[in-house]
Amino acid sequence: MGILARTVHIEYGTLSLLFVAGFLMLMVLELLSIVSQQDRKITTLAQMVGILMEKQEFANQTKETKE
Amino acid sequence: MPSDINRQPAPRCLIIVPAYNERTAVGKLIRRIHKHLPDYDVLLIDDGSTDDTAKQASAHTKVVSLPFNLGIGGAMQTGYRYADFHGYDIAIQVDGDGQHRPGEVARLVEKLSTTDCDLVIGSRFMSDIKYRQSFARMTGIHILSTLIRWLRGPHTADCTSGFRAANRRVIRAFAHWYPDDYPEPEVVLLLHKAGYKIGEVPVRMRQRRSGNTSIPLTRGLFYVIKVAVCLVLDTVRDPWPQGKVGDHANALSQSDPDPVRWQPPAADRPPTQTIQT
Repeated sequence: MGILARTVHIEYGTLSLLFVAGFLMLMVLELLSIVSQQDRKITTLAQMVGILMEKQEFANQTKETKE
Repeated sequence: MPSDINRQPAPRCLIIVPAYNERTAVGKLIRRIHKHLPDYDVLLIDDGSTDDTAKQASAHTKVVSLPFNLGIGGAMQTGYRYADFHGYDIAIQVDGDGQHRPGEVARLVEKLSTTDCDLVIGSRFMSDIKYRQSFARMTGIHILSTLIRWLRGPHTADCTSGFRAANRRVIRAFAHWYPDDYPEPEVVLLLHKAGYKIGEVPVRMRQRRSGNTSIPLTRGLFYVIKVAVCLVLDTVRDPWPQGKVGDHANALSQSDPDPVRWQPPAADRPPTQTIQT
């Protein structure tokens, strides 16, 4: 890190701060990506619950009609 | 007695009605759909309504009640997934607020059946009868249509119209992936980019009389900016990769009783022959 700071002529502290900021930014993006994926999964699950409930209701109605 | 052999079976059509707290409009709309289109199946998607929207459906209407509110994108994708699972050939989106006229559905289906379009949009702005729209909304629609054209998308007069008919290819694509928020303009660009053909027909629409719009005027500016950013990002997105779309179709679709599939017309397929005996 010290070598890099000397090479690019930036203060050691400033460079450290930039690295920490970059790392935090990556963490935020990673967390957003995880939230987005989980949101997709929950949406799909809710959709399947709705569709299967309709299917179950239709099956129940058919059963009642046959009886 | 003459009988037709090799005649194409009629397409199985599903009308998808997404609704959120639309109890005053949806019952009347469903009655009108059954009256105008008795052969079509109707699916009401109750998107986690807090009122009794789902109970407004008649006995012949299929109802999918979502456990909580998913928004217009999630609700519509539920409809397309349902259509995919049950093997429907055409899915038509009709908004639950009563703005879309069931009598105009036939025009969308006719265009879809007689051309090689995969998705047909009912446009308010191609009709001779003017649709009253606020200046802010007209500007927003114009900006989005222009942006779609700049991004090498198709020319559409009404890219925000939710009155649409989709064939089996598009049903499968939408079941695989569909945008969450404000999906209409996005899918126009993405479908075009993926090689699907999009058509437009002029339709008449009613003005909204009850319920709340999904895009209030105060959020209009935010809507335009958000959709514009999404459209730009869509230029590098490929939501329907070749060979993956349709792979998720699960066991539900295998219970489809009718193995004969209606095929949308394609340029490379010979015309259907009708043999009379």
